[in-house]
Amino acid sequence: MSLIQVQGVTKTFHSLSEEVTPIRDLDLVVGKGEFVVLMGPSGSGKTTLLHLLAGIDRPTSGRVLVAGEDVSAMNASQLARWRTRAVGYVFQQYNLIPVLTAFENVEVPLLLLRLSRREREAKVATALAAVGLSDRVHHLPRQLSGGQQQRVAIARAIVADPVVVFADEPTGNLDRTAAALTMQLLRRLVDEFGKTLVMVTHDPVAAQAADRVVHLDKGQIVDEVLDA
Amino acid sequence: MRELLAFLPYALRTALRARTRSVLTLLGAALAMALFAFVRTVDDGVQSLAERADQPVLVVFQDSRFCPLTSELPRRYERTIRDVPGVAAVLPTLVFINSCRSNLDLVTLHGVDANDLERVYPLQFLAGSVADWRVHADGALVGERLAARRGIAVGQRVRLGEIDVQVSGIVRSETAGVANLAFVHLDLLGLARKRLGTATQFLVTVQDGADPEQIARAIDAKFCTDEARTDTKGMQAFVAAAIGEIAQVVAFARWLGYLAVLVVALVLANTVFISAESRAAEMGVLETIGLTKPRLMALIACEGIALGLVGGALGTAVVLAVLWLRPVTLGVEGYGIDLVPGGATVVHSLLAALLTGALASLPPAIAVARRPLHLVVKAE
Repeated sequence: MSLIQVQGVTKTFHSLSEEVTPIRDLDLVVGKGEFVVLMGPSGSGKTTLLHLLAGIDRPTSGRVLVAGEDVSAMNASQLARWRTRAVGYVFQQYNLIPVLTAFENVEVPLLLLRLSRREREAKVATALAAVGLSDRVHHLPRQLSGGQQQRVAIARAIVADPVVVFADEPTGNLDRTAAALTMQLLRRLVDEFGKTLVMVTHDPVAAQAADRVVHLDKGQIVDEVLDA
Repeated sequence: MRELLAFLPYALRTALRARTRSVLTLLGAALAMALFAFVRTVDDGVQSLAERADQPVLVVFQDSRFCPLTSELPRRYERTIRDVPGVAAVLPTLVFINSCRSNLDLVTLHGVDANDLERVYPLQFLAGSVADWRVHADGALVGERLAARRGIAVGQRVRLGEIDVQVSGIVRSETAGVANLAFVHLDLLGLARKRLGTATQFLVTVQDGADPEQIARAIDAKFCTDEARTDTKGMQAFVAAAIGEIAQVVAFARWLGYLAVLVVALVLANTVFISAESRAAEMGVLETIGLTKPRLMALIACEGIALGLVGGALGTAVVLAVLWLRPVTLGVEGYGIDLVPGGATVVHSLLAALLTGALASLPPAIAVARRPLHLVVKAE
């Protein structure tokens, strides 16, 4: 059963001197509970595609459907509301808010939902337990290692129980051990929690955790490998 | 709104994230807002003096004289003025001031006839009594503000305006200037200043229904060929003329106050701008999780408003504390402009700080809102 459908999507950026088309007439289907990795050389359009899927950017033409909703037809405010309830996003640089504790960082997405304080606390505790950081609740980001910070970021991405989690080079800043732990954790999100995960990476080792690897070049899919 | 309130602790913590930068900004804002509050206080003092001068009293002064030390009218004018139709009471007053120029330690003595004083000045006694003053030839009734400034209490012997007096009462009055002067007996002051038989001015109350302007013209007409010509004005016009120059300086200073607020706005805008720029990635995260651009702008505005309000409150508090600990009266030509920050000054200063913070946050908030999310996320 497909969760994400990309239908004939093209994305063109206009600058003063040139026109760039990082995604060109692309079709893609991602199944519910599937772990898909997007790979490709720099400039192949994988991050742009991830942004289009996550509702961070809108396609110039074509449609992006996520769980039956046409993301490409939403206006800015509809997209913002949709991202709150449907999307979890993991950044390469973790991007935790330095003045907030691990608990508060994970709580941030819940502040946009109509939840009581008690409900928020329960959800944050569950998310932090899922990433194995129940003992680091009151730590500030600077008091955590890179791997721990990324786990907090993953907890933040899943705390609102999104339909799909997107990750942009989540292991790019981590050493080998921390990267492996992070990939195990992302795999668990799919296997144990039934999440759908779309991840961009350059790392072939990280890509091995995926159900399917989609290779892009010049804005188009050039290869797909199942059970990498 | 509910979501925004939930994000408020984050906004406030962010405002203090770069502590040195925030503290320097707060100090800058506090200093400028202190200047604003001080200028407002002086402005209020001038306004208050002008308002208190709105009394149905005429002041007969020597023509073409401005400083009380130079106006010298014969005491015999009193009888002539009393005979002008419509005049209710006349109070010959000999005025001594320690300086005609603007100064911060004004001492004004009004030598008056004990029997006529309360016919012109409705007085409230905070301490002592008029009876005690009447029986002491060297007695003095001291205005409440002068008493507070000099630490004067009833029963003390003090030296005021180069004469020794016994304090018989501390008085309050709605009439302009009374808070900063001391009433002594007319003859005592005349003797001490070697001006027996003269008066600096005559205060004239008019009968109900009488036209003060017509009476003023009639009085001046009586003395137009006499040894000292007179110039009679209503109390309000007289005070306005006396403080005219300082009022102009204050009007100019008002612009300095506005300039100070502008400086606060620029300092705040700069700080909030730098802060927002340095947190571009963080803004991207907040937007990615679903914060809309208007809410993002509101969060940035919260930072600016918080810095502006705290700075404004600090500056205003400093002015309040200084003027409370050391009461200041700006003296000019015998009239005291009391620098007492009132509730309106506090409210105006805080409102100015609030508005400045909000306005200063606009440019950085707009800059953040105009940035496309995908570029922010890509650049993280």
